[in-house]
Amino acid sequence: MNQKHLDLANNFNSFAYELVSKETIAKTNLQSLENDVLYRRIIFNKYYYALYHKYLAYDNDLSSKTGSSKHDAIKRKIESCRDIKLSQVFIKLLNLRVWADYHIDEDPMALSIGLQELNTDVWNVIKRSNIRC
Amino acid sequence: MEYNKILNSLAIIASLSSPSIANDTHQNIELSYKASYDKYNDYATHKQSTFDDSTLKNDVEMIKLLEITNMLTVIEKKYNTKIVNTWIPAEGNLDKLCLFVSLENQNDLKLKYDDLELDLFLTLKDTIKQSQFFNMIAIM
Repeated sequence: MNQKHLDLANNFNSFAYELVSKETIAKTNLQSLENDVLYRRIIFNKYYYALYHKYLAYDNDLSSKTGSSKHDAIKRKIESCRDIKLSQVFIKLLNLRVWADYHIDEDPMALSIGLQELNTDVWNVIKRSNIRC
Repeated sequence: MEYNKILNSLAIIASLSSPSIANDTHQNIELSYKASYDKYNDYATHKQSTFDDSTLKNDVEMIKLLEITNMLTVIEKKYNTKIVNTWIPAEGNLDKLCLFVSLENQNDLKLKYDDLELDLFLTLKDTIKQSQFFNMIAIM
């Protein structure tokens, strides 16, 4: 188990979870769609990387490799392990994170994603002591 | 919070606490506009009132700014870079805050470090553990 990945995963998860949990308060001063987009971009990005680093924490082969190909490698491994819930949540977060970082003008669907539902979905996966496939 | 203003405030504080960050170049960095929904305290014009515990509140904000200054100094030194923007989402609404930073040569650093955000987290891990306000550092 790789502690540094686990620590970062816990931090990202806690931060995103609190942002969603306090959505109403945190968004009190959000006036524009632009800021709502920004709020969602942070949550999607940090939730994805929470799961990304949690996975790496328990996969020594992948965590020791370098380069951006780890994203695809994790996706392939998770898809092949037939853990349907894990696969669904990872793919969902992967797509949301790609939207958040690269395609915010292209897919308005991300703006209608239920954040509380996302909180529950991620929590049900990331709370596991080990998510290795 | 308008962090172009905050960085200017940091430069003022840094001139008292850390000469390395208070040079002119810091003031000249072009800062992009980031989320404006957080409140901003302008220390350059803040009156040192003795009413309503403003001194105490000011101390809290001062400690926060010093913590930010400390982290930014560590980052600039280790990565040989300049901070071009900082942002604290939902400041005032969360138990612990995340300091987002944007670095001048961020894309080059991402190529140099396999996982820049992880490296940044490990670099500041002990500092963040001791922080009164922050429990996370991230890259914008």
